[in-house]
Amino acid sequence: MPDTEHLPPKKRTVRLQARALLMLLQLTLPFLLYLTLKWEDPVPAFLVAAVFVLSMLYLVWLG
Amino acid sequence: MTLSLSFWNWLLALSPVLVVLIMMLLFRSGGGRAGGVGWFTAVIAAVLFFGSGFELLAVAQIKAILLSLDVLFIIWTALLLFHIADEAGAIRMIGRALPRLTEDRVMQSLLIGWLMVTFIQGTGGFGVPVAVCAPMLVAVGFTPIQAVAMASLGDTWAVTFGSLGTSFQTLIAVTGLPANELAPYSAMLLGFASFPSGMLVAIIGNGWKSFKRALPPVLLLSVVMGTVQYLLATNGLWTLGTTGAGLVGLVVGFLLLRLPAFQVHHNPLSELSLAEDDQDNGKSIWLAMISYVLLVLLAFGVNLFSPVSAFLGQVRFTLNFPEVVTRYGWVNPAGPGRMINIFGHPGAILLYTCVLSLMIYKATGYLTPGALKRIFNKVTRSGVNSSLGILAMVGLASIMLHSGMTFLLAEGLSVSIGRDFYPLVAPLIGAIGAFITGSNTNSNVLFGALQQNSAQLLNLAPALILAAQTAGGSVGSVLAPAKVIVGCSTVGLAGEEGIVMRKIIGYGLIPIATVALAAWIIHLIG
Repeated sequence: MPDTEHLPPKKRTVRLQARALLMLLQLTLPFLLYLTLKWEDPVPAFLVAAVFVLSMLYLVWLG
Repeated sequence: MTLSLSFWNWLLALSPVLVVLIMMLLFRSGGGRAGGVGWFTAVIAAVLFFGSGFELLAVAQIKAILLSLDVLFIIWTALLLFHIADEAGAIRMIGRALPRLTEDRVMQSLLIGWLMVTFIQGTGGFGVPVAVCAPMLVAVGFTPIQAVAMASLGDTWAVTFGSLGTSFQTLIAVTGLPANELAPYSAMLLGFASFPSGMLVAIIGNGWKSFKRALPPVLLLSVVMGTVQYLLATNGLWTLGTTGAGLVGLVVGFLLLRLPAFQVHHNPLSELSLAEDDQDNGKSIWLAMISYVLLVLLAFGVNLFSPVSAFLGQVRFTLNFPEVVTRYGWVNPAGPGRMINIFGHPGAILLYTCVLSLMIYKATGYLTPGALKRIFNKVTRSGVNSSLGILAMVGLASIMLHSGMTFLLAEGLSVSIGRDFYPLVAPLIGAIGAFITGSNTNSNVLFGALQQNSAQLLNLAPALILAAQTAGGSVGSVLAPAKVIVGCSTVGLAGEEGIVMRKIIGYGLIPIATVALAAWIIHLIG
């Protein structure tokens, strides 16, 4: 049972949308990271990695 | 080389797994949160203690996404197929049909709590078999606690090749061993586990007095289902291992009802109209089940006809990675990541089945207005939650693998347990991983590489040890709190999961012990 089960329906929908967006972000960012790793300038790769780390933090917060 | 083996370093390598354990067992966190915290622990340990740099971590995470996609493709499409069939009434109609066929309580419990659970696990998985079959068992007169316990224990042997082989696919992806090496031992060990699984269903439902009565049908059905699963798995059809075993098991189970000993009602299958429920009035059970028939046909067609599989296998996706090395010299060689066969993937076969099923159900009016929206909502809800947990867990496992942590863990285990007894312990490790994470798949992700490394260090057959891992994981996953909660929620036991857990954990040790003993004997025989 998802841990959103106890929430009111509207909050549950919002939380599910947030989870879905987070999932899409976590699926796509590593591919962006792969592209940026091939560039000479390392800054874009660091930025993408930083966003990925933030997305993991959001996952921990969201539960 | 990685860090030298010491108790402190071994604990550091174990720390991400320990964190996941603590989060899930003590704080009752879901897979996503526990996996996320475990991922951070793995990153910190990899950087501070195992000498991993930015590029190594990036490569590990990108490879993890390829592995995740391989598994998520099946999870999402399997969920989609199950909910399409459920909306068409297939599951409800089967649930009503079974108890009409016999008054024998032992056979009723076996048909729903074991055979039906196995069949649904074949494509449903993720707690769905227990959620679907527990209410059916209550409907035929078992108590809610008995119902959840029976459905859970009936599922113990069926998880690895269930859900279209998601857990098995993961084991292949994580270890790099081919299916034809892993399948024979895996199917064999799970086949052995099917016997205690069936017996426990009968005993929990009808008491120890039913032992003698249950023994002949359970023995026959476990041999039949174990053999069918073995034949499918070892002939490239491992995606259908559990589905095929469940289907044949149901057919043999129905045939057994024709024996006078099982008090058959004179209700031939062809006469079943199943029209009690307005929702399913006038529907044919055979047409309602067309999605599963199509799945079997398509999966067999694609796997058995090499021109078809060659045609579908033309488009493959992967990424190439450079060599990455830790500061301590642990080398991850350059090469491609996981190859995804886009149109011939088990997930793609499921998707074709979903599209065809939807067309048929739509044309025959089996889907009520709003069905598509309901299917979408149910699939999204289950799929997103599972996916986030898997993404975090696979990332964690990949970082542990690339930084040398998994190797150190395996080295520690192999040194402390020793060669002769490791096959006895391997299923327990798999079961613990699945119990913690609620998933055979996640257990294989967490411990697959570790068990492989241990087997190599101890000079044991890696395929046998990995089979023991996944068979133990199969049992452990259905005993997990996460899955028990799902079962309890469908029979009005929400908040009373502890009672069910206490009932099933003791019984659950029996199939785990069976797998361990079988793995040990196979190892001794050589």
